[in-house]
Amino acid sequence: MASSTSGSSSSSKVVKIRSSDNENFEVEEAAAARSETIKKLLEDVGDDADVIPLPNVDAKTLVKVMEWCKKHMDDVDELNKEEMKTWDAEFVDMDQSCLYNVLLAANFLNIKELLDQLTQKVADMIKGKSPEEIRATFNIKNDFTPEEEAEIRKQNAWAFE
Amino acid sequence: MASTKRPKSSESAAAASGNETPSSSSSSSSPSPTLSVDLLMEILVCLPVRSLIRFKSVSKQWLALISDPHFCSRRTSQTPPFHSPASGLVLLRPGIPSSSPTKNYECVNLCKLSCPSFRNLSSTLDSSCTYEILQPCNGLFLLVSFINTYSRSNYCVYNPTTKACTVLPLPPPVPSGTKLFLADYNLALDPAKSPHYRVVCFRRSNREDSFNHPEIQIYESETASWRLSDCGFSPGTFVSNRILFLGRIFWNGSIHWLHQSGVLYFNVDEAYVRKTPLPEGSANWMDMELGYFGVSGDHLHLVGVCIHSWPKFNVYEMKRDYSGWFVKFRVDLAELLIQFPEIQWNDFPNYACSCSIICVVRGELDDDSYLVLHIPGKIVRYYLKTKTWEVLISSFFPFSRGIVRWSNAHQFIESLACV
Repeated sequence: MASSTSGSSSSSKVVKIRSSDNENFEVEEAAAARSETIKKLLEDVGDDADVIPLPNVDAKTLVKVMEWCKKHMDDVDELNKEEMKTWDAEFVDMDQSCLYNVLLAANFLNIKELLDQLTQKVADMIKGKSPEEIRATFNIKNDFTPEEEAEIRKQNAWAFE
Repeated sequence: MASTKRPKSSESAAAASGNETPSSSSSSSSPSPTLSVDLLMEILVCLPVRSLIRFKSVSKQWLALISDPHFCSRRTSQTPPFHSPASGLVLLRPGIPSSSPTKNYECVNLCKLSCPSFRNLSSTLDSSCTYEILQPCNGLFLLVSFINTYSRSNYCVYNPTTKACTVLPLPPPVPSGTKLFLADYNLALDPAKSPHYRVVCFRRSNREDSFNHPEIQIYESETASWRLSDCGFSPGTFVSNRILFLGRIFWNGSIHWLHQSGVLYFNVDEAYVRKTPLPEGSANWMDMELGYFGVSGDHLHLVGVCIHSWPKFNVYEMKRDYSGWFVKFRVDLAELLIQFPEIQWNDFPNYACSCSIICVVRGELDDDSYLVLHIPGKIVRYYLKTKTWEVLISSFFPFSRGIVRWSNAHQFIESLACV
């Protein structure tokens, strides 16, 4: 880890990004470019870029996302795959509100691999829940009539055990 | 903080939901992210099929998303059921004459969770019909339905997970002046390759060349239509009429049948028929009905049982390139026989064992792989590596003398595949 930062920081470019709450961050371009959205913006503005504003991501979330991007900056060789898996598992293990914010950010910033990891994490968290618990988690209104709901549950009763 | 919208809404959610679930680890706020439909889909597609079926009752939006054919196809191709083990085994109730129009099925749970009921397909599907299961294939079932014993039959593709059923249109009629002798239907679905299934119908008529060259009609679910396949069966491939009926196993892009001297297979994509021999020493096998032929976890298995080596036998597996069988598991049921003395060989009217192998189920690890056995009155799971067993059903039609054969045991795999 130490070698990768010291080795690349001298040669690699740094880009500035700004969170929705107006905090500026300096990030290695290779890390920031894990985001297709930032990559595209960088290509569009070229070297004239001053600060790239990210109006949909707050500072706390952006720190988290960039932490992931830095870790995933370089291609992983076979040896480090297991280590990376452990790191990823620990990374997505965050509290729910943070998780959803990072999820929305990963979606906005278009970081496919991170998005996949986060959606899988959310899925793992909710897979054992009941429909009632799902409604509470996502603040969903039950718009079925009692009869409609009973009929659907009857049809799929086996999946409730 | 500049961004205020999101935290606000989550606070109100926490207030609204009130009592939190004990499993929830979040401390103060229950998040209520306003997830876009696209993002919600990305989460849903990662969920197990069983959870998705349960979540159909969350809301109308969730029901619509989970029932959407594009979503179902995507979910189906994401984790091919080839690699998901069967969660149940649908057994034809023993002791019912095969000529009986009414077929009764019982589903044995192989996982700790329950399975949909197969007991009364007529009430689930169409109460004016009776149904018979012909073949399971990666979560879908090929059924034949009879309106009454004498009327013509329909073929249907049924997904027991979603309860969706499609009645296939009839294949084009045979040329006038010819009479249809035999039509054998086979289901082919490889979710890793395509969400669409095919039904292959082999037809033999009284035309002179029809015996060696049965006509092959293929129904494509993508176009909902039949087409004539141009495969020419090579003469001599068919030795007897019987072969077409033993097996019907779809694996590796081909439909397989068991034959006295080998396994025949029809590659659906490339429309050719080939034959591969049985394992060496198989000439001593008593009768394939005592053994087993089937697929699990994308592996094709064959078991032959010989009275001289009983209770030892091998579970063979076919190499993907069809270069031969290899011994995957060596089995010795000696200890099991001590526990279940009711397992006997009868020599009248012909050699028959009172126990049958009804399924070979492969787990992710060899340690999780097992046989499902029908022992008089019981269904037993026998782990192939640890040589341990557990009784899955302790009272399975105890008064029936009939034996469930592997050809009447159908694996239930949870799937959202469209029919």
